[in-house]
Amino acid sequence: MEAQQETYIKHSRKGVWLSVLVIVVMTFLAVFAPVISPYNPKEMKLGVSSFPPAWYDTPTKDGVLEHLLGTDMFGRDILSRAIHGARSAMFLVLIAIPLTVLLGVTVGIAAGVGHKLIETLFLRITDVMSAVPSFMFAVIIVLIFRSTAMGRLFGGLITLTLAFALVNWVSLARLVYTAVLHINRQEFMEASRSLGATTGHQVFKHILPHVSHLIVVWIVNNIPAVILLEALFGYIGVQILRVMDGTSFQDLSWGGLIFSGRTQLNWNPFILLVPTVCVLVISMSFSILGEYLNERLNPQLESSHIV
Amino acid sequence: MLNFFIGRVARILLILLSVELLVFLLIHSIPGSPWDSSSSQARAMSNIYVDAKTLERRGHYFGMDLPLWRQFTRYMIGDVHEGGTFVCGVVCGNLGPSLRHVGRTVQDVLFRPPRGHDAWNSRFGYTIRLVSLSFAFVALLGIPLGVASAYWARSRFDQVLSTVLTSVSSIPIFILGLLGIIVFASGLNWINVLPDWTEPKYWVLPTLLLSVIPLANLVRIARAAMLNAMSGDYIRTARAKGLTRPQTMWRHILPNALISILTYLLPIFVELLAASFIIEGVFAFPGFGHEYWDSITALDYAMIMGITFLYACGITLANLLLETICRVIDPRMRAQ
Repeated sequence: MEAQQETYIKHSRKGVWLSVLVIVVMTFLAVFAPVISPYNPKEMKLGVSSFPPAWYDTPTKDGVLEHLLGTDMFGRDILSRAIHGARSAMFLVLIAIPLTVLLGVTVGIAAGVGHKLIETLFLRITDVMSAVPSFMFAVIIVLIFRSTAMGRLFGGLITLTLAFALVNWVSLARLVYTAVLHINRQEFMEASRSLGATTGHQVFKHILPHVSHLIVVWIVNNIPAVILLEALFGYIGVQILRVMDGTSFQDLSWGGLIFSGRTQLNWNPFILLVPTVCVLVISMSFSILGEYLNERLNPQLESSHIV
Repeated sequence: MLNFFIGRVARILLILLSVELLVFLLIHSIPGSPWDSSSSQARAMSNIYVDAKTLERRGHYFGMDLPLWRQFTRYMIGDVHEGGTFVCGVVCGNLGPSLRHVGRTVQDVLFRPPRGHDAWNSRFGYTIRLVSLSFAFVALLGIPLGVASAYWARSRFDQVLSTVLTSVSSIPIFILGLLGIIVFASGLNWINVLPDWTEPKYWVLPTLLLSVIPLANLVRIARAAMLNAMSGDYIRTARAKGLTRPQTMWRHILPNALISILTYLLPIFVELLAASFIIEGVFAFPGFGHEYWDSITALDYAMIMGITFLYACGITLANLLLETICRVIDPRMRAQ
């Protein structure tokens, strides 16, 4: 058993370093996208439209080295579009997810340790929100915000952030709330209270360390969902920005690339493939990292090797 | 038990009312009107020459000229219409006239099968069949897989299973759908691209795709629940008194883990309902979700509220059922 565990940790450590590397590279791409990408991803050149990837020849056109992954039907370079796509993906991972976590964890803990009134209010809200598929609310939020000034910030990314955060905090808050109720009943909490610990001390020293692994798992599960939310909206016919005036972030996102790539599958499958692989790689890395953190953070898993 | 039921039913009614109120307020704060030419192309096509007078009359017919709270009570309870007749609302099971399907009520659109078909071919029948098929598939496959991967935790099997499930479930569902269509329709010629939903073989692909993410989640949950049950002190005692590993598994770990796994089946069901929206979009599957997407872009208020109401009914009733089952199984919950 011991030996098995040893190899498992060693094996997973390599994976952890690899995933950290992937996340660092993606962040680097996102920050320096305008410098790295060979072309302006929004520039349309009709002369070079619909090129296949460089190593691939179709009956009508041969691939050229200048456009490594080919071009779309407006002559935009796929490689540049994919590199720029890292920006909106990282924006969503680094803005939308923390925002949702902050909201969910705060509400969940407040309902768990706070006044009875907060708890009742929280329970009623979760009852209502969880009675309907959350995606229904998300669509309505997009429709409300997409024509407001705030919703148009960052090419509509704020709308998407709101649609994600205002709906998905509920599941996390409920998770945290049940955990807090469980922790509150434990003996060490009673001991801490009888020693005169303040609520703040209880929350930061006892409760947060005990729910951190739940939060990590939740984040890992939601990262692919948030990156692909916009492609999903595209698929069902809801545009994040109503007017196609060229400022929409969907021109430059992996979701938008996937959405436009599905009709151009015949002559350049890379329009679809590249963003899909990017999303897959990034969510796998966060997933491996999250599992590692979970094993490290979860106090209950320590004794699980007895059986 | 009777008290429990009365309390729960009252709570469900309250939840349904709040859901309807919330959705009503939200959809009425979406800018635009159902007859706005920009709200949908289809409406623009049919209404581009409609004069203001006709629009006004149409708005009056659907009660759009009333204040918001009157519209809500009209929808929920009912109102006296033109000729002095009282038309009952949601409380009588009347979900109101659809704005998009001219001359038909919402319940008619959702529950009445097309002419010459049986009841399973209504929109309701399609959605309920798809979701229950996937649910059975996920539950029957997911729980054994999760239990097995906890039993052989950290083995090669566990690692391979979790890697496969995470990677497949992080491929977006519509790409899996496209790939499925390419492989099964273009490559293998098993199905046509244009589906014929009366034949069972066309149901395989949507059911499988709908099940992928919930299956991965259920396996993860079942594995975690098993590991959690394994870490109890009584398991150490059971092992110390000489029970073998399989014996402990069957007598002590599995019953304890199953209760917590069972409580996760409802979220799985809800997840399936939510995901069925997307699948219905990808495959042009004639169910609730497809109708919802058409309605939300065209702002068919009655249809949106009707579908939301039915989903809320389904989910809260599933919740009640689950709670009842848990009370029957777990004596600790009855004592509370």
